[in-house]
Amino acid sequence: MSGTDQEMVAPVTNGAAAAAADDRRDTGRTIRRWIRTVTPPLLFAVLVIVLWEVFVLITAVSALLLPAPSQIGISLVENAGLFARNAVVTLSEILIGFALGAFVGIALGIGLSYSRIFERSVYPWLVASQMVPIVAVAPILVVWFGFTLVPKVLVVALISFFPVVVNTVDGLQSVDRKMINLMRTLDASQVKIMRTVRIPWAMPFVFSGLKIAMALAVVGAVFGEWVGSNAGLGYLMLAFNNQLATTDLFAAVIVLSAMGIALFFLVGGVERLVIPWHHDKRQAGR
Amino acid sequence: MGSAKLEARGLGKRFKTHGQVVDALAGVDLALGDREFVSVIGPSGCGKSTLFNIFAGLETPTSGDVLLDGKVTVGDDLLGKVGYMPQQDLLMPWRTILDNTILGLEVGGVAKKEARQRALDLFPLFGLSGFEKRYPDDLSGGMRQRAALLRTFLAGREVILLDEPFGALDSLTRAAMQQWLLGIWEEHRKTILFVTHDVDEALFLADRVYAMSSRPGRVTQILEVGIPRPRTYDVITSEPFIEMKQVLLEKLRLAQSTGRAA
Repeated sequence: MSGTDQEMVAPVTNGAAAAAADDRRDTGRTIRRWIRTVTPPLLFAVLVIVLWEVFVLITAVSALLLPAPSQIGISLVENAGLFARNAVVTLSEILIGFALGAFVGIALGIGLSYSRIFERSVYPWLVASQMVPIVAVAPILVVWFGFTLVPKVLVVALISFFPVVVNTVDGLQSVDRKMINLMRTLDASQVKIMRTVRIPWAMPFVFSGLKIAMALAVVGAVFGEWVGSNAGLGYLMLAFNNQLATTDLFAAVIVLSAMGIALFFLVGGVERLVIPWHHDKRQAGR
Repeated sequence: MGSAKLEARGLGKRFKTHGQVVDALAGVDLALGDREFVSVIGPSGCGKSTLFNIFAGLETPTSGDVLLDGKVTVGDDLLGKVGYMPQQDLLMPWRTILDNTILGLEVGGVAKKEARQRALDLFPLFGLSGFEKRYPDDLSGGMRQRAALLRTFLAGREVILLDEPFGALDSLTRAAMQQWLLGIWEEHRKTILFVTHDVDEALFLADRVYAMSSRPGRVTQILEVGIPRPRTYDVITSEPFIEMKQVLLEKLRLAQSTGRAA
């Protein structure tokens, strides 16, 4: 009897207070974990930069081959305006192309999992489409659409939609059968089951696909610019390369990398907002 | 048994797997009167889960009928008519506890706000207060089962099927949960079919216990548990309880040995 009372009453009276205390402790722990995560890679980066600077100083290697980090830093500051203007061009190509690829990818993934016939007739072609090298397709797109934004956006979309489709389909197909049965006993419609069970279940998979897609999107945008453009970080790289302006070339690479990393973490941040439960679970699993 | 709420008549289920024919159920007769608490007990492989799925409408019997309120209702027609709580709690990790419990109401078309209010009114009774906005991963096994039970209760069906809901809990929590479930049932008076492999649990909870044998699954014993209600946990050491327990254990032992011989 007393066992019953304890088990039942304790959560009723202390539940809210305990939950609030938990939250406070969680915040403190999150900050500390964040510091622990961020510090080692930052220290490592500083170490590499210092060694690099020292190496250049000692060997007096030509800046045409390997510029010193300090030189690259100066280039970044001096050309800040130029980099910013061209970064905006590349960024818009990435964002528009990625959005297009993600949308098509998720929509196709849902469509594929809805219809067996659709899946069997379309899925092999999706895979085949990835076997056509983007290197070969990009020039054709330039021929069709000229030096506009369109061919870059299409290259980015083409390259980024595939991981999204594959992960969406995998996610939707891995749904716990028992959860669907539970919904069926509630007399839920197929559409309702899709919305309440299948899609939320697939979300972590979708986000895995989106992260890969974002990394590829950056590559896609630069490549699209190499094939034909008159602006963007990829265009700048080509130009600097032709002028043997190695220091500026390095600076452009750094701007692009920083942008890529930021975009990647942006997707991670959106993931945490959209599916907070999944992030908490992974943290708990560590 | 004319007034049975839910009834199985000559229920049979035959599976064919890899060219082998397996009779999961053969000629099962079973009835739940209105607001009765009935337990089904049997060794593993006695077709408890198959019976459960047929009652829930997830599987169609090969022979025999299911009657709901005296009308033959089988397969898809049963979907949405009977409350169903499987062994695993199946709480959705992406929903808060509150939103998990309103699932049945939500699917039934009740507005979210009203559904939440109705759930919140029952949170204290189910020992879940303070955990409304938490996610299932934050909860202990016992709490998760209570949340799943609340979800099943809120769906509002008159008949509820429970498949070993306390099977994964430690024995102390389990005893507390049994007692608590009886309290809820006495207050809300649902018709409950409770599947278990624990003899004490079956006898302590039920008005009537059906013992089943395995392969093919059939009813080997029907036992009316005459212990008056409300029951407290000390009845499990009383004379009549122990006598009934011996009868059931004997039946189950026989069922297991014949099952093996076959």
